[in-house]
Parts: sequence; structure tokens; C-alpha cells
Amino acid sequence: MPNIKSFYVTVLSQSLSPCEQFLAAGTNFGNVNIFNIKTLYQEDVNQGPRDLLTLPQKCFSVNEKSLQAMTSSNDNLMIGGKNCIQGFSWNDLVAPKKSDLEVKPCWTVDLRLPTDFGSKETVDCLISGDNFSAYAACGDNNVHHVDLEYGKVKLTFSGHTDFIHSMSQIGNQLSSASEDGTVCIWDARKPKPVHVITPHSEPKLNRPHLGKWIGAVTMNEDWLVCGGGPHLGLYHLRSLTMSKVLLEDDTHGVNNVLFHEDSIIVGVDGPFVYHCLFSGDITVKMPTSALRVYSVCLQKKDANKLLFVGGSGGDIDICAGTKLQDQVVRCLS
Amino acid sequence: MSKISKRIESESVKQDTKKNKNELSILAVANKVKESSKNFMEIEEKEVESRTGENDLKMFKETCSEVRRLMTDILKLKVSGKTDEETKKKIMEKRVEASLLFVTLKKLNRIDKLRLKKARDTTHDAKQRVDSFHLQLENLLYEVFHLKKEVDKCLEFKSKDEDIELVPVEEFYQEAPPSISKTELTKSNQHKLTLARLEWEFEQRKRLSEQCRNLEQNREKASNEIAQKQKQLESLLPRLNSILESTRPLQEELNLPVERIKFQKELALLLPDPLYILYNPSLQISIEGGMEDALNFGSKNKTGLDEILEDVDSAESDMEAEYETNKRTVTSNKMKTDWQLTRHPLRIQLTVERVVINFAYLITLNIVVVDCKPLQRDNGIDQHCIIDNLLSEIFPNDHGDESPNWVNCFQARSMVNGKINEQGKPYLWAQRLAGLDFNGVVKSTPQTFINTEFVETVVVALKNRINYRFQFVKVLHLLEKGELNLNQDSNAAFPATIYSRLVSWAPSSYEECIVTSKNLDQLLNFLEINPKALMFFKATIERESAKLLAIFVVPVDYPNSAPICSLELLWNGKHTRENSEIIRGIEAEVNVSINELPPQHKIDILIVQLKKLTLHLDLITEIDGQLMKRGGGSWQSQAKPEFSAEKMIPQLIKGHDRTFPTKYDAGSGFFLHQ
Repeated sequence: MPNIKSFYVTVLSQSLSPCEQFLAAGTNFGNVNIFNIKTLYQEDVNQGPRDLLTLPQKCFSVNEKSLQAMTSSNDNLMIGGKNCIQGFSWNDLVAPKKSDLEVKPCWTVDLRLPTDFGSKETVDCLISGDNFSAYAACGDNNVHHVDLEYGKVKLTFSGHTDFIHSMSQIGNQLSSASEDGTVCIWDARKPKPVHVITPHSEPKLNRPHLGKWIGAVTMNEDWLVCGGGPHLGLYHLRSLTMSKVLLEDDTHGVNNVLFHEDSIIVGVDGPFVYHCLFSGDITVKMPTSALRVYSVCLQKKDANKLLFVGGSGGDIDICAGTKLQDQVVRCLS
Repeated sequence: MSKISKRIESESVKQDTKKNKNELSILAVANKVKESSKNFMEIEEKEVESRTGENDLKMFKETCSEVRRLMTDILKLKVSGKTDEETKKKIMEKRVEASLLFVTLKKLNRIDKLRLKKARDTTHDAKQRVDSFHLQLENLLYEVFHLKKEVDKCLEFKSKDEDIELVPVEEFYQEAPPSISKTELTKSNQHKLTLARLEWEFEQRKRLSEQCRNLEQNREKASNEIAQKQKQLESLLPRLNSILESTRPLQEELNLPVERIKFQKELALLLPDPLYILYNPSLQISIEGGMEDALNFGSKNKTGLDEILEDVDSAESDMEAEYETNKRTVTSNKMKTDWQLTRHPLRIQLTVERVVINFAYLITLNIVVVDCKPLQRDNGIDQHCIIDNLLSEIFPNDHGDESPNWVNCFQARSMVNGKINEQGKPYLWAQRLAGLDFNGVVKSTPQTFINTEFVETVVVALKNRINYRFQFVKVLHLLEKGELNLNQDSNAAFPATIYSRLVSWAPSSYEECIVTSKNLDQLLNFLEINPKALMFFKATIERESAKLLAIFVVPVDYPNSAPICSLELLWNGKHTRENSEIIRGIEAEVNVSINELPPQHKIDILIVQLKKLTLHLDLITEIDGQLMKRGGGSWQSQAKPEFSAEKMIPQLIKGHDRTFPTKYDAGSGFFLHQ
């Protein structure tokens, strides 16, 4: 009989292994579920019952709090823990023999955040940077650039007044979207934001009943897309002007956004994932198993380019060809 | 000649006498004749003696031939036709000669006759003599015969003394006293010996008959005594019964149900096999049911069944109007199902805590069904709540829905329509307690060896279940009044003031709940629980305009398993876990994180959950207002939030999933995220 806990699992963060054959999903209960993607797509008959394949190969506990921040780089799975960043070796995680209890982080980097009812100690978002570093957005509303080699904070970007939902980095530029309704664009070398965008001040984007929070931001060389409570907006980076309202008809808040080839993949605060073009046209509206999408992850290397969609509810949708749902795996807790 | 003359005379005399009145003369004549005849007769007799018969015969023949000659002469003369005197004289002479010859003939005849008569007389005399001798002979013979017979009789006579078995002679001589035996005399004389022996026999027999009579008397006496004692004993039994009856109040006083125990033992002998195995006097168990019914059951069952089957057959073979056949098939089906559900009249009652559990045995289906009732009718406690699903899932997956006897489980399922459940439910543990094991080969008789540990397990499980159920009913009672009282420790985990109130709490059913909320269905399907092992309740928590509807699903073995709720918030829109992560978070908080309560307060899990719900309703209504003020997106849309911010919440929203704080830190009074 399934555990009631499995019913209330929320997938908050996902990360692919460097070989992109394993997926790690972090949940709100503080557990990491490792899935073997390769076997899922193999036609091999000797795999065993199908049901088992959809369950995590490994499920271990990292934290008591929810795992919001997770990313991979250099064979390491980095997880933002309580006042620290923990690094796990992917080799350890994918080795099938070890039991769930024995998974331990290879290294831990303390962040030395102020303790204040525990709300400031969390790591809200984590992306990997160059030279074995990471950008960690923490509960103190700052983004810390952490040198993982030395375990030190290189630079702290402060400018937000509320916690950060998501970050995006390209070259020297870093952008962060926050609950306070702003998107800050940083130069990686300077602690103060270069630009601050407030989408909710745009009348076309503003949705007051949903709020002003910005849940997702992504950028490439020319464009920045962000959304949350306000509509998804396409900003031209140079001019920092809003050029297009995307997904005008969608009534949900925006939780995730990704660039992929020519289209933008958007996970909303509802059971959908949209693929839309820069012109605003929606190419795909895909219903998801999750009630609300909180985490979207895309394979970059594989020819198939599988898209993993996770959110409220323990099921992660795997979409092949970034079109419609192909397979579903389930997190245990 | 004289004869002829006499004759003529007599004839003429006779003729004359008839006319003549002179009798004397006639008489004298007659006398003379007589005398003369007498003389004549004597002469003739002499003649007879002198002459023989042959001579007479010769004479007769001569005479006859003479006559013949004369006749022929006469004839010749007549024929010659001469009618002269000579011839006539000749004829006359011849005639006279002939006539004289006739006289000779007559004489001869007479003599012949005399001779004959004489001969006859002599023979007659001789005969008479012979006869008399003969007669004498006969008499003598007869006498001889008679005497012979007598002799024979005498010889045959068996005197009774020969019937008597006498002791052999040697023994006799040994035993008999000399007065009887008289050896000298008896040795020689057989008769005396026999007499002596008889005497001795007689003596002995007298003696023995004396003895016999004495013994008979003794026997009589003894049998009288026995009869008397028997009567006494018989009178004892009703006396004992009356004593028992009179002691009954005393038994009740002293709590020694001696009589009742005895009666129970008698009933126990009449129990059917499975119930007998179940019957375990060490438990608080008793047998219920009529003794006569049980006694009659065996015989009645067979005849009743035959009757019913006959009725069924006859009913089914009738070809009548459709309505009637329908009616009959219905009744025959009903009779069939009734027959299949026949229950043995004796039931076993097990009292566990405050609930009476009845075990009944369905004979045809060969299963034991269990039924339960609360012992007393407590006012204010809902009987239904206690009984509903009380025994369901004492062991996993044992709901008592199907007949566990795989021989007839399909049959039972197809015709039951709840009828079996009227008698009780066939739980698997009950079958096992009664020795009916349906897993392996189905044996015709239940096995008697029951694992005693199993009995203990069952009784312990029953006790726990019943105890918890009674406690739960009390909790329900409180909840219906809207009180969420907890013990001190549990209460400390909550803030002092909570504005939301439990407004209503009502029992419900699975079907009802599914209709109102498909969220619940989703949850139950995910958990794969059988709705039969659950109790459903609907609760409403209100805080002014905010209304939180909760459907609580309480498992039957609460509080060993925690209840689960499915929520719906009606406040500025309808919010469920589908469309709001907030509500989902509250559900998770209430359903998943159950703090371990100490055993005596374990029953309060439901109250704790409800209290958490009230707290969360408070929280979200306030936070929503604050968010509205801050522009963080809210359900409310009016200018002023409905609820003022009173709680201390350091951070309203946290995480990419934008959750509200769910934990109350009693020490600081703050509401925190995990």
C-alpha cells in the first residue's frame, strides 16, 4: 500500500548527470530520487517489470527542508543545503549496489549565512558557474558566487528584497528573478545590479491578482524572458524594453522558462508546459501529470533532447522530441 | 287214505263248522283228529328215521314214473277215442291208481318235509349248542383279552417313582443315614432298596425345599428393601432441583453461577462442531439459543429440507400463468436461499469489553458468521458508530464480505443480497477459530487443534479494537459538539487563540463522499485502501466568511492508523489541492506529519488534526490579506483584507513553490516554514 507521503511529493528541482543518462530529482521532503533514464528507453527485454523502471533507482535523504536548489557540473551533483552547498559524486549516486543510507556528500561548502528562524539559511537557487564555482541564491536574498574549490564566497550580489526564484547566466551576465517582483541583471564582477526590471510595472504584463513575483527568468545573448505573477514577457536585453507579451491567454503564473533552439519552453503554475515562439505563437501546449510545474530540465547533448517536467505531484513527465509526454517516472518521497 | 278222508273231513268239517254251530262236537272231533294225528305223527317220525332220503327219493321217482305211465295210458286211451265202458273203467282205474299214487306222493312229500324238518331241528339244536359254546368261547376270549390288557397295563405302569431322579446307589449308601438305608434289608431286596431310596429322596427334598423357602423369603425381603430405597432416591431428584432453584438468588449474590455453568455445559454438548471448537470456557463466553431447538434441529433439518425441495420441485414443474410461475420461482428461490442460509439454533456469545460478539454457524454453507452488538444501550453514544465496521480488517484484508469457503463462495455471493450479512459476516479469523480451514484441502469436519496463540491474538486484537472504538466514539461525540479539547501537552503545540471554529462534524458514507468530491476518490485510489475498512466524516471549519470543508477518512483500526482528510476551501473562490498549492500543503501537513502522541492520548490524533486545520485556516486567511497588501497575489481582491494580521510570521512565502509557513514554533510563537 503506497505511503500517503508519496501523494504529497513535489518535485522542486531536477538535474541531469553529466552523461545525461541519469536524472536526479529533489523533492519538498528533502529527498533526492535518482532515475536511470537510459534503461527506460532501452528496448531490452531483460530489464524487468516496467513498473520498477519508473521508480527511482535510489532515493536518499539530504535535508529536512525542501530541496529547491540543485545543479550538476563536473561529475558532481550540487545540492543547496542548510547554510551550505553539498556536493555528491555522480558515480556514487548511479552505482546501483549502494543502499540509500550510505550516500554521503563528497564535499560541503559552508555559506555562513545569518541564522534567523531558519529562513535565511536556505539556498533557494543554484546554478553552476565557470571554474568549479556556483552561484547560490540564498535566503538572505543575496546571490553568492561561491568558489567550490576553496569553499569560499567570492562575491555577494545583493539587491533583492525577497527571496530569489530563479537565475540565469550567460557569459559575464547573471540575471535573477525574485519574489519582490524584480529581475536584476548583474555583471558577474560587480556586487550591485546593472539593471533592474520590474515586469509588473508594465501594464500589459501586470496581473495583480496573481501578484508581482517573478518566478522564472532566462536569457541568451539578445533576449531575456521572465514571468511569474505577471505575464511572460520578452525583453530585449540591449534596450531592456519589453518587446512582447508571451502566453497572453494563459491565466497561470509562470514558474519556469527555458530557451530551446528557436522556441521558449514555459512551465506554468498549472498543469501545462508551453512551447512558444519568439513571436508569441504557441506551438505546443502540453498537459502534464504535475498539477503545477516547478521544475523543467532539458537534455542538451542527446539527439533525442528529452525534456523532464516535474512539479506538484511526484510524477515527472519525460517528453521526447520536446513534444508530448512520452513516459512518466514517479518519485517515491 | 285215511289222510284224504281226514282232510276231506276236516275240510268239510271246516266248511261245516262255519255254518255249524255245534262247536263242541267240532272240538271233540278236532281233539280226536289231533290225537289221531299225533299218533300218526309219531308213526311217521319213526318212518322218517327208518328210511333214508335216498330211498324216498327212489320211491318218489318210481311213483312219478308210475303216474306218468298211467297218465300216458289214460291219454292213450282217451286218444284212442274209444268211449266205451271199458275204457272208461280202465281210465277210472287208472285214475284211481293215479290218485293213490298221489297219496304216496303226498306221503312222500310229507315224509320228506318231516325229514327236512327234523333235519332242520337237529341242525338247529346243534347250532344252538354250538352257538352257546361259541358264545362262551367268546366270553372267555373277551375275558382273556381283558385280562391281558390289564396285565399289559400293569406291566406298562410307570410309577412316579421311576421319574424321580434318584441318587446313584453307591451314593445313596454313602449318604443316607442307616435308619433309612437299612442296608441289610435293602441290599437283598430290590423293592426295599428302591423304597429306601425313595424315602431318602423324599427326606432330602423336604430339606431342600425348606431351604428354598427360606431363601425365597430372604430374597423377598431384600427386593422390598431395594424398592424402598429406589423410591427414596427418586424422590431425591426433585428435592435437589428445588434446592437448586432456591439457591439461585444466593448464586447471584455470591457470583457463583453454578447452575448456569451446568446448563451451559449441557448446551455445549449440543453445539455443532465448529462452534464447539470455538467454545472456550476460559473466555467470557456463553451459549445462546434454545435447547429444544437444538435437540430438534438434527431431525427437523433433514425433513424440512426435503419438504422444501419437494415444494421447489413441484412448483417449478407447474406450467401455469406467467405471473404465478414468477411468483413461485421467487418463493422457491427464497426458500432455496433460506435453506442455504439455515443457521444452527445455538450461537456462541463472546463478551469482549462492552461489546457482545455472536458467532453463528450456517450449516449448509459450512461457515461461521460473526455479528456484534454493544452490551448496553448507552444514551448519547451512537450505536451505529460503534458497530459499523467494528470487526472489519482486524486482520489485513478481512472484511467479511465473501464466504471464505471456496466451495460455495460464488454461490453465496450470487444469492446473498446482503442476506448473509443480516446474520453476520464470515470473517476469516472466525473460521480459523472454529477450526474451519479453507486454505488447504477442505475437510469434512473441522480440525480441533487450534493454535492457542492465535486465540490470544484474536482476543487481544478484538479488545484493542473495541476499546479504541469506544474511545473514538467519545471523541466523535465531542467533535459533534464542536469541541477540540486536547490534553495539556498537545495543546501547548498550538497557539492560544485560534479564531476558526469546528462548526459541524457529521458521519457520512463512501458513496456520498465520492459524489461530492472526486479529489477524495483520487486520494483513495492512490492509497489503494478498501473503502469498507474506512469510516467517512464531513467536517466544516469556519472563520467568518471562510469555510473549509474537510472530508475525513478514518480507518477502522483508528488510532493505529491515522485519518486522512481531503480539503476544499470556499473563500473568494473554491480552492482545492488541484488548483492551489497552499491547500495541498495544508493537506500534506495534516495527513503526513503526524507527531507521535503518548499512548493514553493516542485517541486524540483526529482532534489534533482538526485543530491543525483550524490553525491553518487562521493562517492562510491572514497571510492572504498580508500578501494582498504587499502585492504578492492573493485570493481576496477587495481593498482591505478581511482578517487583520495578528500572527507573527517572519516570512510569508518561501520557495519556488511559494508555500505558506506551516509550522508553529511554540517557543517563539512564530510561524515558520519547515
